[in-house]
Order: sequence, then C-alpha cells, then structure tokens
Amino acid sequence: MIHYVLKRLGYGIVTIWFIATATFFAMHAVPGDPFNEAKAASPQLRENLMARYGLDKPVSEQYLIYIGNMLQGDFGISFTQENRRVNDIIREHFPVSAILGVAALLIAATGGILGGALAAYWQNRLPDRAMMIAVVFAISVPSFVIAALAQLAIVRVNDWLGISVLPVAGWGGISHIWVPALVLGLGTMAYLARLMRSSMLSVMQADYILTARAKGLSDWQIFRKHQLRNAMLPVVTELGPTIAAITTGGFVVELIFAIPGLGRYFVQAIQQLDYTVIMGTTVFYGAFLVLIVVLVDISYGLIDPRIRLHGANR
Amino acid sequence: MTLVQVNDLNISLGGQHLVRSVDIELDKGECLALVGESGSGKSLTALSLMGLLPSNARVSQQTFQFEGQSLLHCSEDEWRQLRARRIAMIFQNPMTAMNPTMRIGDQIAEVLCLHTGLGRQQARSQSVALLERLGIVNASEKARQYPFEMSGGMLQRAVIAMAVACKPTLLIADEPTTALDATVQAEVLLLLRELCAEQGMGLLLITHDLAVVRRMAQRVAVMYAGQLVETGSLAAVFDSPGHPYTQALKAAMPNLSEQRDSLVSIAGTPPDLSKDITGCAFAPRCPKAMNICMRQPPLAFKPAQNQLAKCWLWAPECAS
Amino acid sequence: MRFYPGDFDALPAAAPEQMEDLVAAPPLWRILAQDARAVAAVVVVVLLIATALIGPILWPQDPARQWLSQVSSGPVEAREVAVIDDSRNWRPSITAVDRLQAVQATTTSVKLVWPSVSTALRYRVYRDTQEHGSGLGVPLAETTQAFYDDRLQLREQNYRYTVVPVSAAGDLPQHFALQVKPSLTIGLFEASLLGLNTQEGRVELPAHPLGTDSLGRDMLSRVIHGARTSMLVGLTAPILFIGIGAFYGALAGLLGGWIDNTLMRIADFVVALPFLLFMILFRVAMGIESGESGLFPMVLAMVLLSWPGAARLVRGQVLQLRGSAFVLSARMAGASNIYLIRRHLMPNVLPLLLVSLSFAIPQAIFTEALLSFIGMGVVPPTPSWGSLCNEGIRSMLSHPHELIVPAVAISIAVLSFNVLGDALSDAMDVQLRRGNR
Repeated sequence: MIHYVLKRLGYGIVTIWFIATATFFAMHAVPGDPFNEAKAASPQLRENLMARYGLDKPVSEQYLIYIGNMLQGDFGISFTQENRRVNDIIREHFPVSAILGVAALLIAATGGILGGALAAYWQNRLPDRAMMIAVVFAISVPSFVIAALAQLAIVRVNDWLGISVLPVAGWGGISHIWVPALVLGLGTMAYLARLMRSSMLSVMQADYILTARAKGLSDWQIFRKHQLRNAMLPVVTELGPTIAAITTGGFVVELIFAIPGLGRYFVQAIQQLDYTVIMGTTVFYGAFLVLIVVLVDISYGLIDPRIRLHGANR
Repeated sequence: MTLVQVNDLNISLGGQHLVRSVDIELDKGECLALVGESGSGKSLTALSLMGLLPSNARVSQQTFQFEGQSLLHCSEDEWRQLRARRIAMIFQNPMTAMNPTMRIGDQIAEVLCLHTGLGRQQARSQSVALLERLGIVNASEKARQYPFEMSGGMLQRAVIAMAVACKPTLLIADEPTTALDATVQAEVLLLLRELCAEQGMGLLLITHDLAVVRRMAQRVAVMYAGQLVETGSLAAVFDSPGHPYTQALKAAMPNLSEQRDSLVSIAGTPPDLSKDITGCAFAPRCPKAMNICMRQPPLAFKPAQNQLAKCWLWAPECAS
Repeated sequence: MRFYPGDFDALPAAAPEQMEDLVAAPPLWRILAQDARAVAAVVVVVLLIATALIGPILWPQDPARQWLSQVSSGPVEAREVAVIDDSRNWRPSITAVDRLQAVQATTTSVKLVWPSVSTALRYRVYRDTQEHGSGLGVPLAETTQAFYDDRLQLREQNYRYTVVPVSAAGDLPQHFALQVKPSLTIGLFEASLLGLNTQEGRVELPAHPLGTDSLGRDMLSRVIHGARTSMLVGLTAPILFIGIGAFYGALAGLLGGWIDNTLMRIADFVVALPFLLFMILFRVAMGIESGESGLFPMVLAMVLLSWPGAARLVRGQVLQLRGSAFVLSARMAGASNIYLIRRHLMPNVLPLLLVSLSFAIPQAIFTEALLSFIGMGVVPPTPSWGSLCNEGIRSMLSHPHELIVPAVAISIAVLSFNVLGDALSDAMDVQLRRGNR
C-alpha cells in the first residue's frame, strides 16, 4: 500500500510540474509577450513584475525563477489590480468554490449512486425506465441552460408565492447553496447513476450473490452487504474526473448565479487578460485536480483490498 | 429415512423446457450423484431444491418433501429460514463464489450470525474453528484474508466451511472440484465425505466426472436433456449401465489402466429443449436405437436390482 | 401401451450430423437498422447536418438583419404592414375635447392628445403594460403641451397610458387614461435601412417562425447559422483528434519498446491537463482578446488536448492483436505488416473508433457551447448555439424563448449523438456475442 501511495504521489507531482511548465510556455507564447511589453497597468506594477519575474533575463532563467516561486507557493501579483497578490485572490475566492463544489459532489454522489443502485434493483420496471430517461436528458442539456432555467423557475415561484422562497442569485447563507449545487451536480449525478446501474447489474449476475442468497440473506441484506460495495468500486475510480468536471462546471454556475467563487474570478481575469491571475489560477486548479485524482486513487485502494494489499499495475 | 423427495419436477426458463419430469430421492447420510453433461438440467434441479431458481423460471412439481415437511408452497421468508440452516450449497468456482471485497472469516461469520444468533465476536472465533476443522493451517490468520489472497483449494475449503457452518442436513455440491487442480480435488472430496459421515448430512453431488462419482456416491442418477435416464446404486450403474447414454458416458471416461488409441466421444448434439420431444431424447444419438424409440418415450424398466433405466431395450417385449 | 411389429428392430445407422455452419455475425449497420432509437438518432443527425449545410438556402434570411419593429417577438407570420413616416417633431392638427385620444397607434409611434387643463403647468405621461395594474406604470415624459409622441420600444400589445396634469401645488386629481394596442408598422427610416421598397406605402415583413431576439434578428436563421458553427466545431475537432490519436496509438503499439513507453507517458500527461482551463489558456496564448472570435483556436486546442483517448484505445487493440494467435499464424504464413493492419487491425478498431467518435461529437458541441457561453469561444455577431444562449439568458426573464430555442437545439444535437453512440456500442456487443458463438 505504501508503495502504491508513493507511486501515485510521485506521479501527481510530476504531473503538476508538467502543468506548471505548460502554463509558463503557453503564457510566453502570447503574441506580443505581455511580460515584455508595457501591457501592465502602471509603471510601478511593471517594475514590480520586472523584479519578481526577472523579465530582463533569458527565458530559461525566467522559467527557473517562476518554478522557484511556485515551489514557495507564490503566484505573484495581479496584472490589473495593483498590489493584490494572486495568493490572496485564491485564498479569498477559492473557499466559496470549494463549498459549492463539495455540496455539488455530495448531492451528485449520493443521488447518483443511490439512483443507479435502485434503478438496477428495479431493472426494466417503471422506476428504472423513468430514471434512465431522466438521466439521458440530464446528460444532454448543457449545465448553463439548466442553471438559467432553474433561476427562471425560482423567479416564477417567488413571484407566484409573493415571498422569496429561495434567493435567485448571490452568496451568503445556506439557502444560496442548494440550487446552484444541485444544478452543478446534476450532470455528474446522471453520469454516476448510469455507471452505478450498469455496475450494479453486472454485480447482480456474480456468483457470490447466488452464494449470499444460498446463505439465507434477504434481498436487502444482500444489496447492502454484498452488492453495494462491489458495485461502487468502478464508480469510485470515476470520481476523480467527476471532480474535475464539477470544478470547471463551477465556472458557469458561479457566473450565472453571481457567486463570488474562483471560477467566476478566473473568467473575469481572462476577459481582462490578467496574465498573472490566469497563470496562478490555472496552476492552482491544475494542482488541485491532480491532487484530487491522486486522493481518489488512494481511497480506491482502501476500498478494494486487491489494491490495498498488493499495489496495482494500473 | 428419506431426507428429500421430489416427484415430477419441471422447470422452464426462457421458453425452454429444461428439466422434464425429474424425480429425486435422497436418504439421510446418503450421497446421491447427479450426473450429466452441461446443459442437462442438473444445476437447475439443484437450485430448485434451495428455492434459488431465477425469478423468470417456471417450476412445478407433484411432491416436494424435505424432512417430512412439504415445501411445495414455501414462501421466500420460509426459504430463507431453510437455506444454510438445513439445506446448504457449494458452488463450482470458489474464486467467484466468494465476495471479493469481504474477508473470508467475515463471510463465514455472516452465516453464523444470521442463523445461530451468535454475536459478531463469537461468530468470528467459531468461523476460525471451522476453518481449522476443515484442515486450514493458520486459520485465524487466513480468516482475515481476502479471497484473492488464497489458493483455489483453500478457498473451496472456506466455501465448504461456510456451507456446513450451521450443520445442515442436506448439502448440495454443484461441481465442487471442477475448478480445482487434480491433487486438490482428492483432498476436497475426502473432506466432503468425512463431513457427511460426521454430521450425517445427505449429499447431493452434481458432477459430470464419473471418477468423482465412483469415489463419493452410493447412488447415481444420470440426466440427459432434462430427463433422468437412469438411476441406481453405484455398483449397478457403474458395472452394468442400463441406458446406452450411461454406457456411452462410461466409455468416454478416460481410463489410465486401459490403453486406448483415442478418446471416445458421443456423436451428435443434445436436442433442442425449446421443442417437444417425441420418443426418447437420446434416440438420435443412440447406437442401439430402435423404431419405437423415435415414437414412444421410454418407460422405466428394471435391468437389475437397485437399478432403473428409461430405455426400451429393457422392455420385456424386446427380445435379445 | 401398444407395440407394433418392428418396434424393436434397430434403426439404420444414423448419418453423421452435418456440423452447422458458423453463423457469421451480421454487419453493424444491419443490427443498427433494427434498433428504433438508432434509426431515429441517425435521422436526427442527418437532419442536423443537412440543416447546417443547406439550411441557409432553404431559409435565406440574414441572421444579422435587425427588425427593430419586431424586437423580442414570439413566432409571427409574414404580413404586410404600413410604412409610417417617422420623422420627428410632430404637432397635432386636432385638439382633444374631453378625453385622452390616440391620433395614431402603431409600433412606430403612439401619438396622444388630451384636453389642456388650465391650472396645469405641465403634464406627466405614464405607460403601463399591465392591463389592470395598481400603479400608473413607467413615467415616460413631462411635457408642457397637451400632446405626446411615444416611440419607446413599442410592441404589439396592450398599453395603458395615463396623463397626470401637474400644477404648481403638485399633481392634480384629474387623470386622463387610455388603453391602446398599437398595430404593427414599420418606420420609413427603418424600412429604408433594411432596403425595403416603400413606394406603395406598405411592405411585406417576413415570417419569424421562432420569433426574434432582443435585437430583432430572426431566431430561426440564427439557429440555422448557429448550427453551422456548432456542427463545424462538433464534427471537425473530434474527427481530427480521433484520427490523430488513432495514428499515434497505432504507431506506439506497432513500434513497441521504449518508444511506446515514452509516447504513452506523454499521452498520460496530456490527459492530466485540466481540459477547460487549458482550452481557455490556449486561446489566451494565441493572443485572442476577449471579444474576438476564436473558432480555429478552439478546434486546435480541442485537438491538442483530446487525442490521447483514441491513442490509448488503438494502442490497446494493437497490443492485443500482436499477441493473438491468428496474427502470429498470419505472420508465419508470410503476411506483411500492411496486410495485417488492413485485414486484422482496421476491422477491429474502426467500430471502436466510431463509437468514440459518436461520444466525442456531443462532447465537442457541449464544449463549444460552454466556451461561447462564457465568451471564450465564438463571440457575437457570429451566431453559435452557445453564444445564442449567452444572449438569450439576458432577456430570459421577459422573453424565455430567446434562451430556450438555442438550448433545445443543443440538447437535441447532443441527445441524438449520445443515443447513436449508445446504440452503436450495444450493436457492437451484439455482434461480438454472435460472432463468438
């Protein structure tokens, strides 16, 4: 297990380095290199940048300085907002995105796994059919449309009842989380439900389920003790990419619901061509996602004894 | 004393009439071997004895007595009380019959908890004791292992431990040694025989391997195309098989003591079970088929004491 | 039971049964043709592509043309309307006697006259869209004269005008109110701007089957032109990256050894890149400022980031085939590499690639829509389904159809490709099972 964890971690670190490097060179490929021209907002900022990034030095040296800064967790200062450090921006806005993302993930995972499992349980009966049709629709409608329609629905319901049942947009209380989190998690939920269903169906065919029945266990006991865990294994491996989807999906949901998260800030930064913020956020998000994937891999190892004990050649 | 008695068992699945009017009778402490090639309906027959047929299977029988009690109209709840406690089953492949993500000991303890009302801790130590009894060295350590960490033979012992944990009176073993190495096969068979003798269990052994039958069974029932074609004591069926199918099976069995140039196989294929069969199901492949075999389903005749064969060859009218 | 003579005579030796010929698996398209949902999906896909190709010919309205007289309208038929001279500085030739009157009520302008009140210094004009609203509505203007010409975004709907005379002491209690429904007209200025023939004082306005957007542009033609953009990105990018990936994977699998190792390690890293972030990053790196349309960079970025999936798939197949017995025997029989690739690799890999393609296309359509929606892809005035949604969401509360029409278009496209992919992979399962029998 330790070998497995170390291997995963090592792989993760190399990947983060790769992301940082790709970002650096992508930024330096911008025509009319923003780091070399006076694109910065003010002379003072420009001097600041010069000093910090060694802009007068050759690219290779700049790269080393950049990697050195990254290693210290220093993402530099904003291009468009003087004296605002990218670290501060991330620290301020990321928790909002994280709360939204975690809520969405919880909704998606519970809903998806339970929904898929129950659909398999009622295979080819009405609840199964209805759920699978809903899944196909949830996968086929873009998240921004669902977000907009959800907002429209809230407005109409609030109008109709004459009171504000749920806030239409913004951030603050628990009531602000529900709808955006549901919207954000919906696509993932549908995807997981579908995955869980087929995984569940293949587990139901397994010999050890017959064994469990021969033991005299009830359907519910078999479902809980034998089917669920085994069926969840392939679903758990998909959680990594799923978290990536939720993180990037957050951009749009944050934009539409006016939630002050990092995603919305990132989109704004791109529109204003705030290069340091773009770089910092990309590397930060990249590193975050890679870490999540590594963590999911490790937790997969915890659930599946075959990997926990022997390590895996995946 | 009769342990199980089933008369006229019929099972259909997906439009196929897979088990046709089968009678099973098994005494306490006796081992009955159910022999036949794959697809002959022997596994379905066994599953029906535990009420474990797939939900889309259609099943009917005249009588179904177990320990003097009729199971004809048994509800699912009543079945659950019977399973593992009084009727237990061992499946063919121990590698897939065990839950891959659950420790061996826990899987055995699960049965004990369910049926004997033991606490978790007690059930655990009892399952270790069971594994020890079944010849697993270092049982307490093995109990904490997962199926993928154990060898096939070891796992089959664990599966057997799980089956006999509640001291059932009937044990059904569906091809218990097919997936195992030859050397391990012998050990597992020996173990099964010991357990049956020890606990007075009836054993319904399902196999296509006549060598296994010879070592284990007191009585033999041979199935072909969903029908019983011959039953009888081991000696009678083996020494003088009455049905041409049994004869062919015996001939097809590789025998080390005899020098043969080639392996013998039975020509042709089993009939299509989605259709009705007129006459004897084996007739198209039978080297001794007669005109009547194509027209009339054979009655049961008695070629010898302790032996019944459904074959016109034994009809008194059939001279020679 | 009765026996007949000869019953117990032996049958003649049976002729050895003919081995049944192995039934060859039916071709993929035949399995698909029996699957209703696959047929439906194919029909929709073909219709979508046809729409993108010849839609603009069938519905030749210019998607950028603004029908200012019909802003944010629902579905309307073609009709003839009057051309109104909309030059400013109107003075009424009549005066109202006792009540508020509309001299003209058209969508170009509503011209109101009311009796002058001696104590009033000026008049305040209100307009309300709610028929029985409690308030007076929006204050439009204050005027010292007893007439007013309203030209503020008039639509074909009921309006309630209220004129409140205001004296030095404040609002007078005496109000004038009027309910009117302007008829659809087009201003002379707008008509000449649109290049319509105004000679006869009437012009034919075209139909808008899906209504118009907030700038008065025809939704149907925008959706059709949007289909061009969306299908262009949705088809070219997946075809390119699956083709490139397949080639890359085949190369890695065939060369093997350390080359294979290196190539696949590179693929692993590309997979690890956060997709959307790098899509955006590429756009920035290519120097596209916000507000510029980046169709080509979008396709390029998608290709650069998405090829490893197909590469892994093909490499896996190649390795599997390399180790298989029949390739070995074919090789021993002197088969060349090219023969092996054509005869054994292609038939196995092509259906798999087809399935990946049919799942990659909706993904690409989604990505295009998402990026255009956040302003990182195709930007106005070029219509794409994503940018149409982006525009539609702004007027969502008052005119939901502007969002729903492009959203439905995206959903239908994505749905049909997804269903097609499902049906394809199911059909392949069927083929595999039958082939192995």
